[in-house]
Amino acid sequence: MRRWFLKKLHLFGWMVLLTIVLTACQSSDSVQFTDVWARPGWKEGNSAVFFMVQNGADQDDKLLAAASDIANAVELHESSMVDGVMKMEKQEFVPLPVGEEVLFKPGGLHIMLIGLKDDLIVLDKFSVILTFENAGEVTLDVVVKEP
Amino acid sequence: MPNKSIWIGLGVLAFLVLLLVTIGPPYQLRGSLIEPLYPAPPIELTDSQDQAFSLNNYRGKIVLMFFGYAGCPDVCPTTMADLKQTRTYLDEDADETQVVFITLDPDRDTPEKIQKYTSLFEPTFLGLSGSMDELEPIWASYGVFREIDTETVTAAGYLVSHSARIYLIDQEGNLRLTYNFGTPPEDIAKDIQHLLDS
Repeated sequence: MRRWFLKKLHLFGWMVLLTIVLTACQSSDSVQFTDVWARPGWKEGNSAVFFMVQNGADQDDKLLAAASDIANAVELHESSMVDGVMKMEKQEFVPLPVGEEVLFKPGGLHIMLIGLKDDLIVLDKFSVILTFENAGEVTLDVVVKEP
Repeated sequence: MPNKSIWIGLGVLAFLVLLLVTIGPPYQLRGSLIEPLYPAPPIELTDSQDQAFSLNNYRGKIVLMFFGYAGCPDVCPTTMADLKQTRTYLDEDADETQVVFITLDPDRDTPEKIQKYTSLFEPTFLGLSGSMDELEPIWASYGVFREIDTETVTAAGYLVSHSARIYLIDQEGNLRLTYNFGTPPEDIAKDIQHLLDS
């Protein structure tokens, strides 16, 4: 009986470990990020995070939300020029079609940091957690730099 | 005789080619040129030190002006960063320029706040605010579009949709050039250098 229990426990442990490994691989392999940066900002002001993201999974995905301790609120936004007027609109989600790259850049899509809790100075680093519909949560390491 | 004429003609042509190669083709401005010359509409405001600001006081310098607001997380700081880079390209001639940022959101941007905002990019940048009575005629005179977006619900409060051009006022106080958002700083710097050298 004891041997049976230990055998099952051993098997269960390997299953847990395998799940953890597979989950980590999925979240790190299904979406890949490059050139992650944020603009400098001031305490109580706003800033933005930019990057290139590629969907390396075998299905479409959506970026649903972003969160960070660096600001009071974090939202998905897109700036667009319409008839010479720059508008900014909050996005409920950002589509990430399979195999495609989506660029978050000045004047376009960006992660808006609202109400910075402290000054953001060049070379500062902080984390942003992105939530994807399929890829789950992905933690981004962001560096502050001047464009 | 015809041979002599041909040689003279070739000589003149060679001279012209040499002249063109030496001087180079005429400079092509990168920005949108305003013609004929158009005096920049006056701007009279009070700065964060409670001192009078007058655009006329900057005759002799090239003024680079932009209209935005401190809560803008993307277009405005991008433009300010571009103007900082423009001055970097100018080296010592950057001292011949002045960047002015005028708010489109006076309800939230006090003179102190907007000056603090612009100073973050470069201490020499001037940030200006004022009352609606003071600012609305200025916005109108520069053809600035500004609209408060009350429909979008965001933690940042209301957003301001606005035109995003950079205005260049030359040393004689003429509104000379404008630049679209995203114009390479190097192009703006080249135009400024051309005006300074003219």
